[in-house]
Amino acid sequence: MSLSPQLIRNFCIIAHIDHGKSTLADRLLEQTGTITERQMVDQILDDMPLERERGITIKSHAIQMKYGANDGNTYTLNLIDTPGHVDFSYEVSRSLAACEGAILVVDASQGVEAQTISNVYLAIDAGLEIVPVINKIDLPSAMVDEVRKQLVDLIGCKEEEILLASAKAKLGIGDVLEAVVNRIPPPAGKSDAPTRALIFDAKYDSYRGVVTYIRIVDGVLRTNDKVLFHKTGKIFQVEEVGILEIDRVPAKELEAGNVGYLIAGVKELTETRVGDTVMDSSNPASEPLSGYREVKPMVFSGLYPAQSEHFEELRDALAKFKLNDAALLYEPETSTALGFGFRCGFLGLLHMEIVQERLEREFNQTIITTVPNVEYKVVKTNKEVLLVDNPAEMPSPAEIDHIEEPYVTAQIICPSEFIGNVMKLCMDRRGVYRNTTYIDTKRADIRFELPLAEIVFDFFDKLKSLTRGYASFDYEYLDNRESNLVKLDILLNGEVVDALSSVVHRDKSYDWGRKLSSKLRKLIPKQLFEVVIQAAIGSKIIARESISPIRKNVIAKCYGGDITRKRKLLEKQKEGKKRMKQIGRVEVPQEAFLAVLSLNEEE
Amino acid sequence: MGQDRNHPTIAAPVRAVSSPLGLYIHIPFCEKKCFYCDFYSIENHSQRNEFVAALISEISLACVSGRKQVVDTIFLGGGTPSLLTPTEVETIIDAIHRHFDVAANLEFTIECNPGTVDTKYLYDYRGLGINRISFGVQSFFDDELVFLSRIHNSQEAITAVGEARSAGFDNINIDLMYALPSQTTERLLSNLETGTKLGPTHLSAYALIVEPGTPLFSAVSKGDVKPSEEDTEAAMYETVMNFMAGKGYDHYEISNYSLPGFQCRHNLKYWDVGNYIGFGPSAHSHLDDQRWWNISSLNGYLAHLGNNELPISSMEILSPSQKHDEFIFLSLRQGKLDLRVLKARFGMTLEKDFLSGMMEAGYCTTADDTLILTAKGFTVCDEIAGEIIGLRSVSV
Repeated sequence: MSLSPQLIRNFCIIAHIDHGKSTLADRLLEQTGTITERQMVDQILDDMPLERERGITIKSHAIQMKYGANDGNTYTLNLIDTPGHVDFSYEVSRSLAACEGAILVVDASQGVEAQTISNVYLAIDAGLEIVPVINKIDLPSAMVDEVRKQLVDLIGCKEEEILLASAKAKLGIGDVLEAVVNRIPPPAGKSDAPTRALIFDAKYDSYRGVVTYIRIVDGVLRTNDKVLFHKTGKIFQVEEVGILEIDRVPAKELEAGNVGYLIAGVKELTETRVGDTVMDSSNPASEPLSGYREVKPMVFSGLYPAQSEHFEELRDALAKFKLNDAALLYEPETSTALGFGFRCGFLGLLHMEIVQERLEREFNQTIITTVPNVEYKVVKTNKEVLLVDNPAEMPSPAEIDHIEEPYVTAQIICPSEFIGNVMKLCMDRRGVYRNTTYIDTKRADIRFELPLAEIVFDFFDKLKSLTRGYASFDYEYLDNRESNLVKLDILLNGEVVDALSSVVHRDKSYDWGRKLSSKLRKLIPKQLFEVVIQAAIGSKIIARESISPIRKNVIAKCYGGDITRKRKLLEKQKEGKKRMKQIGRVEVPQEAFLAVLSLNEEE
Repeated sequence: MGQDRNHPTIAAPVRAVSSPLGLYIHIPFCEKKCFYCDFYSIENHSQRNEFVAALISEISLACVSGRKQVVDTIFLGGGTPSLLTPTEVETIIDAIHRHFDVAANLEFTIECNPGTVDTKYLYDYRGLGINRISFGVQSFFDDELVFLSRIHNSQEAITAVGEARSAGFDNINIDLMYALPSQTTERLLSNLETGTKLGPTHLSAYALIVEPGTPLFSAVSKGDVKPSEEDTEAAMYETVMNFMAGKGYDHYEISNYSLPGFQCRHNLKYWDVGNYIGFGPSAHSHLDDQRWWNISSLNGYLAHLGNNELPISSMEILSPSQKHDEFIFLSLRQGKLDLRVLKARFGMTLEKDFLSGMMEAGYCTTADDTLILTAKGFTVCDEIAGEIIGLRSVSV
């Protein structure tokens, strides 16, 4: 019994963080009876504990619903949930490619935000039909009329096309479902054409190997078919296909227009590539589907085991982690200070934080992370060009002709009374002002060109505090530009600690060096010997601090014959030391390696 | 009769050992609990008779197997052992003689609270063979004694020492405390001066430690008492060390000073990882590679012995790494680390760079293949122990 594409709708929900995307998804699942109210937990699609805790979506999720529409037909609705954060925009564009339409959710009390705009553009670029929904209309602070105007300006729709809803209060959910059926076009593929399916995500399952999530564009996929993964050129036999409900539900076949999963004995994620086209190996289509642009890491940092002997464990953990996060790049590196570890590339700061947190929680690793940095293009005097993603590897100043760093276009939306603060922040971060437009009478959309390195350090936190939490922010890679950059080294008792080196703008280097040394003085505990902290550019010392030796650490008390108690105190002290790194004679706590990130808190 | 690490059953812990044993006997009664003290003691003495009877049966239960082992030190501690009548003490001594072979050169100490001393008791104790007496003097300033909630005053302490001497005690220890809140160096020196003038063979000087669970701890948490600063405490400690050296006392453990030949042999067993058996609630024992300790409650103690069971709370079997750690910190608490023994027993060598760094910084000297702590080294003794213990975990 084949499913008519006419009765399939594939869509996603796009929204700025906290505008109610996951709650709306929960309601759709409930109203279509896909899950009962009893099974329901909040944010049901966000099954990673970290996602629930932070109220964000990190991975894409897909789920199928059956909906009996007002026209009497039962439709198959495939909802592909997407992350909202800027770091994960690649996940968004992947999911968009598997859909014909998008529900655009905007919070009635917040209005259009930076990620609303960037996600809308991605959806429009992907040719999707957009169904605008104003959510949270029951809030006392809802400004439905203003938000309606903003939406008309943003996507050029008619006012009456905008739906009103409150996912929390279960208002307007039926209208949303009807609009999905009536406005979003059915999939256009041909069942009789040679099979083409787009891989929009892949997960590693320890029992089944790699499970790929696919959208069948043309043709059909059946169990036991031999399939060809176009890009990798590998052929696999299909073990199972099926649809995605709360769990995977096996099916005989998946036909054109539908969304589901494919298990084909693929052992490693590297054998599949998200964005690749799955074809019938006996009758391959002549053209693959247009894939995705390669994901490029923007932020780099070193990950080291807190104890050097745990290097192999960390290697295994990273390999396993990568099975479910193809965006994470890593390669081994050696630091004189930290020993053996990995240089990792992340999509952004949130991605870095999440990887770190999941490695600690899910893989039980204690890791030391070095200060994040961007990738520099270094042109040497001999015309050689180097890409440097680790400040420690920066060539000596004499060898450098010039250094280029990545710039981004930053978009900041905030109430107009904060324009001054935002301008000042961006100028302090070496920003180049582009323009300001007004979304409505109260809110401005400010564009700046900023060095990526400047937003890697606490930019977003700063922005939030300068705008009392009202600003939203998004950015996009722009180009590489030549900048007057220097490598700033930190010396402990005269030895350079490579893991603490950073690349900073020359004009800021003195201030930076001074603040960093003083921060380190506070973070490094007193020890048996004096610790001298110096900041240097090349051989020039620009700041100095010292930590006087510990004055007293002895328990001058008699415990009678209770030696155990005393020994346990020492064992505790030993445990504490395990979380430190020995550099020369100095014991450095992990926080010191991230000291740079919180430098501006001091002011 | 399995021996679980956590729920041990030690049928008869006293067994043949190569060196003479020390016996510690914990008397858990005090007239009044001092507000800084976290040792186990109670103010209710109603179960005194039951306690003495239980103690006797504990001794016999522990010694049911094998022949009598040699004992060459006994320490009656507490609590306040001098609350026991000479008759009660005699019963205990008799039990010890029934189950142990008591060496001729026995060192037998009793702890005394200067506020509870009865002159007749002192003569009787001496007559029972007790040959060392330790007075919890703490201070010779009455306001400091009040702060410490001691029941005696300064004059009583001086008198008590004199009476002990008359009763025939020539091996006398005085406990003093320093680093009391807002204590001055002048007062500390005055306490040391008065204390040494009494001519003790041994003097212990402990810094006041704020232990969790004590009334002092809550007073500090509430902000009613401000403990002394680290720098002050370290400086006072150095003052004590210098003063005692000037008076000819040997600084042989963190807080202990003695005239030549008068080190406390019983306490040395603790610090030399020697063998000792503790009887009474909360008492600790060590035999070969085993440590165990009794429950810290008189009722629990009585209940166990009422059932003819040893009142053991927990035991542990020391792992090689724990033995290594203990050797290092216990050696350092005695101000010295024998590098030959470290190498021979634990295969550990300290790097030349490490040693020379420690010497340059003035923490230690070396002589005869032994690391010897300076006064400055003693002030950071635990840090140095942690450092050396840490070296091993890196190199292995």
